[in-house]
Amino acid sequence: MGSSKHQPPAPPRQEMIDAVTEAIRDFEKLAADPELVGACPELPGVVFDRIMGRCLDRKGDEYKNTVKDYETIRHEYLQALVGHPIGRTLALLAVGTDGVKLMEVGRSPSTLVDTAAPPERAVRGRQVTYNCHHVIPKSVGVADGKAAINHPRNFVIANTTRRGRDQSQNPHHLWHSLLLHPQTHNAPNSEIPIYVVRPLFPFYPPITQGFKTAEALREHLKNLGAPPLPEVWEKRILAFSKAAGHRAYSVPKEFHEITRAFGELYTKKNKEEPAQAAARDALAQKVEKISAEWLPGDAYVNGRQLGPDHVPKHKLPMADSSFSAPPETPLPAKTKSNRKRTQHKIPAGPKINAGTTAKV
Amino acid sequence: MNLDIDLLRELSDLFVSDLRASQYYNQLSSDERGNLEHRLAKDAARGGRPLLPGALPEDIERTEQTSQDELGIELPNELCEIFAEVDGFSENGVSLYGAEQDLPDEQAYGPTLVAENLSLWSLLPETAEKYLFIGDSDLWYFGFDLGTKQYVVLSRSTLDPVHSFGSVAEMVNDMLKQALRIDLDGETESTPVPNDAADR
Repeated sequence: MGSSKHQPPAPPRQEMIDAVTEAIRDFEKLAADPELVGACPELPGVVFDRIMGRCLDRKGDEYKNTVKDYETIRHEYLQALVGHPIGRTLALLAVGTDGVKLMEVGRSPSTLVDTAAPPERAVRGRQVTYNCHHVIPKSVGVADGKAAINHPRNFVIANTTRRGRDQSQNPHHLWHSLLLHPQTHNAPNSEIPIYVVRPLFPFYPPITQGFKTAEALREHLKNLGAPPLPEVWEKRILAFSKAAGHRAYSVPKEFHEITRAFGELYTKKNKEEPAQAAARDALAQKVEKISAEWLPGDAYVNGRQLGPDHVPKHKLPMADSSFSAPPETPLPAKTKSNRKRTQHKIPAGPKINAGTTAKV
Repeated sequence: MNLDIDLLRELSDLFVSDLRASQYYNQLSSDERGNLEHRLAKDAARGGRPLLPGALPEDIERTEQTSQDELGIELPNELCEIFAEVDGFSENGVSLYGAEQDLPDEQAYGPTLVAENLSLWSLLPETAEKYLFIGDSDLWYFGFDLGTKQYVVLSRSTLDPVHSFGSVAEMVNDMLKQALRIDLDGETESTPVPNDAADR
């Protein structure tokens, strides 16, 4: 298996290993009360984190550098996270043994679940796929700049599986499109409060099956060859399982089916210009309304502050992470010279392509 | 520029090596594994790339029709030609959307073109009828600007265009390089899961 030209990747730098350790510690501090995990059953295991930030000029150096630096560290982060004792156990629970193996070689996790295909078609794999995302977006400038943005405590590995029109396994799409994007779209060119969706786990969802008791969770981990989790994580996992009804988590229907309801707005019958414009306006208003149902009064939606009288319909717990402040272990930018420091006799490892796309 | 067949072959090889290292494969009975290997060999003998096939003509036609019916747009011919070579993929966080198939959602292989555009247009209304999204990654959306007829990369955070390509093939080649983590300077390439990883 695998061609001989592929070499094992270089191990992560010590700075990245330290940064992951800090991130795991920060995750633990973030929600001391495990009940917080299930406080909002529609979106379990996530909180709103209020940060002060300004939307960056995408042509500016800060944004460009943040993107480029991220591309060079992503694979190293995946390796370091799965190399951390707690990170590895959480990875086993969230992305399984196949996902862990991919992360060890610096690849985004995925799990092959099926290869069935009718005889007239070629065989294809059905995967569950995950991707690494920033919690505070790259496009938002915070007081302490990119050190806080490109740091493991600001990353989450989220399920991004899509099957045709089914977005029920794609929570990141919901967080980004419904809760975050409306706040940054048309935002004023000054520092504003932004409510970012912060998962309480480095992986989301943190489990692929329910666990009703600590014993069941420990038994599952034992079968995977993993040690039990520290109590703080054990309680958090169990609280998530309870909030998800002890089943694999699925984005609530009312959110992921929005797409289907809106599909008809783009049909041929709306191709006439007035109908088209009206359809687009109706759509924008609908999305704004849904976003506002979640956000507090000082949040901005499509450039307008909701106002002091606004009361959100849904109550997502609030956290004050202070993660926009500088981390204790900031990651130095990855350069050719410091990449080689940890490589010893191992051939040059892979780095994320900073190819033509990265001309930001 | 044409689609880089070597990159497609490399991705197909990677998928096959990942399959053989997977828990799914190792839990198949020997008969099931034999059947699967037989079908992969048959796909290769037919000239296909195992686990990375092109779309069937009827799927491409369906995608063209659905695109007209539900998105109100005509697909660019060269995109249909890409589908004939590669019917989408998801690897290392990079997804190329596939053609629409006549399958229930739970049996779909991954993100598909019309479904993804409906979803993105619905929740990012300023992109509606402006871009035809073709794929995505954790950093970018890959799309076709319906106004300028250019293939463009948008920042996932800001939805601003950051780069354009001369053709869809050039764009998909770049997506393949990102999926395979191939640097333009040729320094590095993707790393498959080691053979013995399943035993560790």
